[in-house]
Amino acid sequence: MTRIRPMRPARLLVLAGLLVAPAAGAAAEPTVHTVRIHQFTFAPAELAVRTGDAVIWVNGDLAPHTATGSDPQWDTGPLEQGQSQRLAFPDAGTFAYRCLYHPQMRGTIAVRGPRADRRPSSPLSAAAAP
Amino acid sequence: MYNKLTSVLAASAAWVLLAGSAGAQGMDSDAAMQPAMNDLEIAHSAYSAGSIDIRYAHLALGISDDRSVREFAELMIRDHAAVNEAAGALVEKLQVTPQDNELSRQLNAGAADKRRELAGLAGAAFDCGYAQNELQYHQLVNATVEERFIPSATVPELKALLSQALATFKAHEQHAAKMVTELDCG
Repeated sequence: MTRIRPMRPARLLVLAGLLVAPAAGAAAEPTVHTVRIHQFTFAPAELAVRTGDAVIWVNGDLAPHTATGSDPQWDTGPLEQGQSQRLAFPDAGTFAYRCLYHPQMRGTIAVRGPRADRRPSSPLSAAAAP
Repeated sequence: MYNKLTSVLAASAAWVLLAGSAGAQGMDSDAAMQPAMNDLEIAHSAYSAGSIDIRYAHLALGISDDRSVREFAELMIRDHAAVNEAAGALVEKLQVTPQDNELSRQLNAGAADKRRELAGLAGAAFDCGYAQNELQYHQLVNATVEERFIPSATVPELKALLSQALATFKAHEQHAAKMVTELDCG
């Protein structure tokens, strides 16, 4: 007959730590969202993300496009067909953007927080990420 | 033979109007009147249409001081160059040579006339002339691409490229219409 010994409190804490640590690490990982540029529209045109998430714009059109925030601090730069650019959104807010070349193309990124585990230095820096 | 000649002449007349949009209002765009074109002819004419608009744009950049006109012209150069670059890549991939044809020749001849006309204008007269020509040109090119080129193209890659190009040209048409309205050309 196998005897089960009660576990000491110290071991329980260690085990709990092992179980919790990966979950906390996973929460810190940003979600990456994709906005496809197709036939002169951003799809989806309105996107809700959480602080710290990233957005990738992918241009499927023949014509070059940009995704440029009304605040000029962020900009994908020109995207030729097949090119993409990833930007991070560290702070909460609603950010309108447009294509610099085709101003009729408009979109919005709604960033809800808080979840700023990793905050780039600049506010709203939507800094280009690899 | 007579029927073929009649068709070519009808198509040529249409393309003269297409190239130099003066009198374009009277153009009969009935695709049924126009002769069938093969893939290589379609590719050549579509490429020619893009190149012509790039040349109009360079003229605008040389003459106009209006910000909206200049931005539109820069857009035409950027977008049409991208479309033509894709067309060039497709031609290279398929290892074919686009065929010059009557429509392309008429298109280029008509555009040369229109450029001469525009080059004689200045200030608001040029801006309105350029803007109105761009609107009419894109309306007619779009109708031709949509109703004639795409249905006639048999190579799937060419058909797909024309469809993508049409999306670009339709955006230009909307932009040109807005430009004409904002310039208050009357």
